[in-house]
Amino acid sequence: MNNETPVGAQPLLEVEDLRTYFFTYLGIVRAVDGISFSLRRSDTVGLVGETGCGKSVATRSILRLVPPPGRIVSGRVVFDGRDVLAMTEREVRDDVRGRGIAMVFQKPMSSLNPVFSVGQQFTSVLRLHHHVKRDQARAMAIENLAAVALPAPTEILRMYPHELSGGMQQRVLIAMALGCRAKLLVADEPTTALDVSVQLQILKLLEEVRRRTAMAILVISHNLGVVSNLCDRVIVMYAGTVVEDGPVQDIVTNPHHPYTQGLIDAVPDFAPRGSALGTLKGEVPSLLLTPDGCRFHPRCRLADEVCQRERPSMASTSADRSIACHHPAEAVSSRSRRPSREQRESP
Amino acid sequence: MERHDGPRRDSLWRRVLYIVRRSPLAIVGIALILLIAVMAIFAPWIAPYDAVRVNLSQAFQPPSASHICGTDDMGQDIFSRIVYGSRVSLMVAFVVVGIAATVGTLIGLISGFFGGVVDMVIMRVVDAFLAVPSFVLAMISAAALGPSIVNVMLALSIVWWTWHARIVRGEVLKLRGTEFMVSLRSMGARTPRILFRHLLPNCVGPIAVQTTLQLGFAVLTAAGLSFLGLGAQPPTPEWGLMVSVGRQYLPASWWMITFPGLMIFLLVMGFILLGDTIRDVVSRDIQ
Amino acid sequence: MLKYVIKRLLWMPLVLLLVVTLVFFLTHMVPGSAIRVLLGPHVGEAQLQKATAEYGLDKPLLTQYFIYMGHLLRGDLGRSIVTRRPVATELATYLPATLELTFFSLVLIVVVGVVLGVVAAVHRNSPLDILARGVAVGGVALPQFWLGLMFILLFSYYLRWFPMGGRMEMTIAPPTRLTGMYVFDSLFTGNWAALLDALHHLALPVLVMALTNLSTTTAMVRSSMLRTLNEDFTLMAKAYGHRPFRVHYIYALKNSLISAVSVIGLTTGYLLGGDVLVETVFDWPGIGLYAARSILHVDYAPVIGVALVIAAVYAVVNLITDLLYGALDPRIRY
Repeated sequence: MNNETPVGAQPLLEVEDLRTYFFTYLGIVRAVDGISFSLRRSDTVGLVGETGCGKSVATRSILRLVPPPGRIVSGRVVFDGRDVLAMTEREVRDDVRGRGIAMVFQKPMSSLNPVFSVGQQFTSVLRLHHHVKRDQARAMAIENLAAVALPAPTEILRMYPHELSGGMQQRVLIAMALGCRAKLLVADEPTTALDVSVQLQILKLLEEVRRRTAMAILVISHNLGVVSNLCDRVIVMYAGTVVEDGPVQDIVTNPHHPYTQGLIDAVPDFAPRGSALGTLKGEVPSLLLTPDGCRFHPRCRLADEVCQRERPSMASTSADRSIACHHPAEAVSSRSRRPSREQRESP
Repeated sequence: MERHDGPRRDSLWRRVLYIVRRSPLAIVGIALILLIAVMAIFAPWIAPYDAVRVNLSQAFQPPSASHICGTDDMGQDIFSRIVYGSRVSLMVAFVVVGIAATVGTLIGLISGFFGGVVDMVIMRVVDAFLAVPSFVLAMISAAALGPSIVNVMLALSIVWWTWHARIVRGEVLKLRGTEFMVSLRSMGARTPRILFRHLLPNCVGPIAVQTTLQLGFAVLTAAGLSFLGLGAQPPTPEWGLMVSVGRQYLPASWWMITFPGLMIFLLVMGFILLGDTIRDVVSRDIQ
Repeated sequence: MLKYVIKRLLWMPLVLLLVVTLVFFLTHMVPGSAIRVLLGPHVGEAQLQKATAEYGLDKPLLTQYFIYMGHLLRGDLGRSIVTRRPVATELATYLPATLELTFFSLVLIVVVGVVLGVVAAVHRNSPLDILARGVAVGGVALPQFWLGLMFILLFSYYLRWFPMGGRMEMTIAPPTRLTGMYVFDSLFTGNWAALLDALHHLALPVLVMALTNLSTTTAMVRSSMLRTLNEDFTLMAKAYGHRPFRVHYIYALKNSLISAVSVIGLTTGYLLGGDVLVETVFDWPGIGLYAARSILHVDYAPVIGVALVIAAVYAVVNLITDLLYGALDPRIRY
C-alpha cells in the first residue's frame, strides 16, 4: 500500500479529544466520548465499529451537524488548518460543508429529497459552491454523473429520486461529492443499505475515486471487510472511544486490542481456514450506561482490576500504530491460534 | 469524564412527568379539566343561587358583587347556572363518548377481524356516515328524535361510533398480517380470546387519544345543537342554550353570552390539550 | 390517470345514494309530525289527514323511500312544506353563498395554517411553537356560534368596523348573477362598490370559520415538516452547505405543502359541518341557514337536499385534492 505522503506535512483533518453527548430524557448519552485521530491529504481511512458505537455522530460532529438534543461538549476539530468548532456558522457552511468535506450517507434512498428532481438538487449544490450559472451547473453535473459511470446523465437529471435504483442513487451522491471538488469524502456506511451485487460496484467506484482524485476518503463501516479492501489505515471505535489505530494490513493480521481481535475473528474472510468463526461475547453497551474504566472490560477476556478502574489512553506501540489498552503485550501474545503476519502476507 | 446523573428506567409515569414538565400546554389542559370536574362535583356548595329559580325582579342584572356573572332574562344567576351547567356538559361528553367508543370499538374489531363481506358492509355504512359532515348528521338525528338533551346524546352516539370503528379496524388490520397473530392462531387461540385479550390491548393507545379528543368535540357539538334549539330546553342550565337565549338580548346583556361561551371553550380546550398530552405519552418518538 | 378519475366519478353517485338512504332513514326514524307542526295546534283531524295524504306521509316508510328515490332519479328533490317551492330551486339559490364562504375560509386556512405549521416545526418547542400550536388548538376549541356572536358584539356593535350580518347592504345592488358568488360576480363585471361590500360582509364569517378550523392544517404541516426535517435528505442538504433558511423554507416547504393539500378535503368537511352555525349567527343566506330553518319546521325534504348537496361538494373537493396531491408529489401516479 502506498503511504508516501511526506512525513511532517500538516494533516488535513485533526480530531482531538472530541466529545459529543446527547442530553435525552433518560439521561446523558455519551455517543462520542473523547476520540482523537488525524487524517492526511489523500489518505483513505476506515472508521470501524459495531452499530451504535458513535461513528456517525463523530462524522456529524466534524461538520457541526449534531442534531438536538446532542451537543459537542468539548474537543477540537481542525480541518485544513482551521478550527472548525471555532468558526462562525457561515464559515462552516461556505468552507467546510460540501466545499471541504462531502458526505455520502448510509441510505441513498432517503438522501435525496423525493419531491425535487435529481437535476434540481445536483445543480443547486454546484451553484452554491462554484457560483456558476444554471447551464454551466448542468454541464458540470452531467460531466460528474458520467464520471461515476451512470448511463444517460441528461436523462437522470430530469428524473426524480424514486425512479432510480439504490445503487444509482448512491452513484448520484458520489457524483455530487466529486462535483463539489471536496478535499475529503466521508462515506458513512456507503454500501450497507444496498444489495450485495451493488455493494461491490460501489466499492469499486470508491476505489476508482481514490485512485483518480486527490480526495482523502474516510469510510465509516461496521464491516471490517469493506474497510480492509479500500483503506490504508483503520481506526477502531468502541462505545464512543477509539481503541486502536494503525495500517490496515498490520491490524488485520496482528490486532493488538482484544476488541479488534474479536472483530476480526468474526469476519469469515480473515479467519484461518477450518477454524470456527469467533463471536464477541456480551452486547454492545448502552451508551447511557457506559462502564467505568476501560469501556470494553465487561466483555474482555484480559480484564483485571485496573481495567475496571482506569480508562486506558491511546499510546503508540510503534511508529504508526497506537492502542488504548492496559494489557497490549498480553493481548498480542495470547493470540497463539492466529496465523502469524508472515504467513498471511506471503502469497 | 465522570457521570453526572445515572441512567433512568423508562416508565409510563416517567414519560408523563417528562412531558408535563416540558409542555406548559399539558399543565393547562390538566388544570382546566380538574377545575371543571371539581365544579361539577361540588356544584351545590359552589353555586351561590339555585340554578333554575325564576326571579323576574332580578332580571338582566349586569355582573356585580352579588351576581358575579350577572343574571339572565328570568333573573337566574348566571354563575350558578354555569356551575350546574358543567354537570350537563360533562355528562353529555362521557355518555356520548362512552356509547360511541364501546359500540365503535366492537364493530371495528369485528370488521377488521372477520374481513370479507362483513367488513365490506360495515365499511360502506361507515362511508355513508363519513360522506356528510358529522355535525350535519347529528343535527338531522337530533331534529328527528325531537329536541331534548337526552336525544342529543343519542343523536351524537348514532353519528360518532363510526370514528372509533374506523380507527380500531385500521389497528386490527395492521396487526392482522403480523407474525404475532399467525403465532396466536397456530397456538389454537379462539376468536373472542384473540379479539379481546390480544387485539384490544393493542388499540388502547389510539383509542385513549381519540376518546379524549372526542370528549371535547362532544361538548362542542352538543352546545351547538342546543344553540340551534335542537338540544337542551329551558330552564336546563346548558351552556349552548344559555348563549342562544342571550343572543336575543344583544348587545345590552353581553354577559349572558360571554361567560357560558367561555366555559364551553375552556372545557373543550382542556380535553383537547389532555388528548394531545396522552398522544405524546403513548407515542414512541419521545426524546 | 384518466382511469382513476373515471373510477372515482363512478363511485361518487354510489356514495351519494348511500348518503340519501342514510339521511332519509335518520329523518324518518321517528314518525315525524311535520304536518302537525306546520299546521299548528288548532286544526281538525280531517284537515290534518288531508295534508298528510297530500305530502304522501301516510304511506309505509319503505314506499315513501322508493317514491323519494324515484323522484330523485328524475332530479326532483321534492318540495319544501314551508315555502311550497321545489327544493332544487331553493338549493340553487342558496348554494353559491355557502360555496363563497367555504372557498374564502379554505384559502385563509391553507395560507395561515402552512405558515404557522412551518414556523412551529422549525422552532420546535420554542415559545413560538407553543404559541402557534396554542392558536391552532384554541381555535378548534372555540364554539363557532359563540365566537361569531362575540365578533359581532365587538367589531359590529362597539367598533362598527363590520356589518352585523348578511351578504350585502340593502342600498347596494347585487352584481349581475354569473356564479352567484358575489365576490367573483362583481369582480368579473367590474362592479367595485359591490365587490368591496361583499368582501366587507365576508370578513367576519370567514375569520370565524378559518380560526376554528385552522388546527388540522397546522398540525399536519407541523408534523410533516418535523418528519421532513428529520429526514436524511435534510441533513444531506445541510451537509452540502445549504443555508438553514433555504433548507427549511424552500426545500422542506415543498414536502410540507404537499401534506397541506392532503388535508384540504378533511378541512372542507369541517367547514361544511360548521356552516350551519356560522350562517345562523351571521344571517348568511346559504344552505346552512336554509337547513337550520327547515329543520326547526320539521321540513325534511330541504334537509335531505342540503345533506345531499353537502356530500356532493365534499366528494368533489376530495377528488380535486387527490388529483392535486398526485400532481404535486412525483411519487404518486394514479
